[in-house]
Amino acid sequence: MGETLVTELIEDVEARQRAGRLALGEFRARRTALGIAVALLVAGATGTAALEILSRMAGWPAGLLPVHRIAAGLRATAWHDRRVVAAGGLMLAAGVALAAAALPGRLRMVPLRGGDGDLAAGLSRAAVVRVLDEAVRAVPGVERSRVRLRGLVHRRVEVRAHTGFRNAGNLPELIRAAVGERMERLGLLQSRTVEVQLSWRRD
Amino acid sequence: MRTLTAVTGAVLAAAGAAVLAVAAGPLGGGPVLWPALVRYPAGHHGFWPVVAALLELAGLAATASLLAQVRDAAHRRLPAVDGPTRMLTRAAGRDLRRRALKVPGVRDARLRFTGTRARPRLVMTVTCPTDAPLAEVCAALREGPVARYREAVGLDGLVVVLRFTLEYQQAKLL
Repeated sequence: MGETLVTELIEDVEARQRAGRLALGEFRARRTALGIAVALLVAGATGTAALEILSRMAGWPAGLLPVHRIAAGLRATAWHDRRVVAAGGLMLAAGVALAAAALPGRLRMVPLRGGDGDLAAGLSRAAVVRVLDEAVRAVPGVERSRVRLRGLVHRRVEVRAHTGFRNAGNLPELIRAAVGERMERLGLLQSRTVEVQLSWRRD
Repeated sequence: MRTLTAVTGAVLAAAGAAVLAVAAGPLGGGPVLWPALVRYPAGHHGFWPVVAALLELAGLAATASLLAQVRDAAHRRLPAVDGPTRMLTRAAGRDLRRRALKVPGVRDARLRFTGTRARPRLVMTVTCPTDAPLAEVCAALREGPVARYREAVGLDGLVVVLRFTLEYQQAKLL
C-alpha cells in the first residue's frame, strides 16, 4: 500500500515535470523569422563567396563579386578610416544583437499547471496582468493600480497601487493575498512572489 | 534552431571587435589590406581551397538550418498526415469541441490539428470568462474531452496545447 503510494507520488511529480518542460518548450519565443533571415543571408553570402573563389581557381571567374575593386579599395583605406571604424562598430552591434536574440528570453505565454506530459496550457501575459489587476482593484480602498510581471529568473508580480485612505493599514497584505489567491485560481506553473508598492493620500 | 543565429552573432561581434581593436592600435594608420597579407595566398597553395571549403561548410550548415526551420514552422501550422487520418482528426475534433463547450467555464473552443503522424499536435484555443478557475478548467478538459480525443484518433504521443483566452466583460455605460 505504502509502496504504491510512493510510486504514484513519484509518477505524479515526473508527469508534472514533463508537463512543465513541454509548456516551456511550447511557449518559448521561436524567432523563426529572424532565424530564417539569418540562415538565408549566411547561405547566400558564403555560397556566393565560395563560388567566386572556386570559379577563379578553375580559371573561369564567375564575376559575382567585384574582387579587384574591393581589393583596391581596401589597399587604399587605412584601419582608422571613419568608414572602417563605422563598419566595425556596426558588425559588433549586429553581432551582439544576434547573440542576444538567440538567448531563451521571455515566454510568449504564461504556462499553467494542470497539464500532463503531453499537454501544455498557457495564458497570454496581457491576460494574466489584466486578471491580476482586476483582483487588486477589487480590494476595498484601492483606487488605482498597475500590475506588471517581472523577472526571468526571480519571477515576481509588481503591483503599484494608490488608495484614498490616509492610513493604508494592512492594505498591502490584503493586496498581496488577493493577488496570491487569484494566481492560485489561475494555476500558474511557475510561482511568483508579489511585491506591492502602495501610495496613499497625504493631505 | 538558434545555434546558427548565435554562432553568426558571435562571429560578427568578434570580427567587429577585432576591427575596432586594430583601428585603435598601432596598426591603425596602415592599409586594411597590407602587402604581407596580399602575398600570403601566393606562397601557400592550399589557402584558397581551404577558404572555399570552409565557406561551403558554413553555407551547407546555413542551408540545413534553413530547411529545418521552414519544416518546423510548417509543421507547427499545418497538418502533414494522410487523408484518412485527417478525416479522423476532423471528426474527433468536432466531438472534442462539442464536449469542451459543456465544461463549466468554457465559452468557446477552436481547434487546429498540426504536425506529422510521428509528431502530432493539437492546438486548442479556449475562451473563458475572466473569473474562471483555469486550473480546474484545464484539468476537466484534460481528463474528459481531450482524453476521449486521444482515444479516438489513436495517435501515440499526441501533444495537446491549450491556449486560454479570456472574455472580458465590457462595462456598458449606455
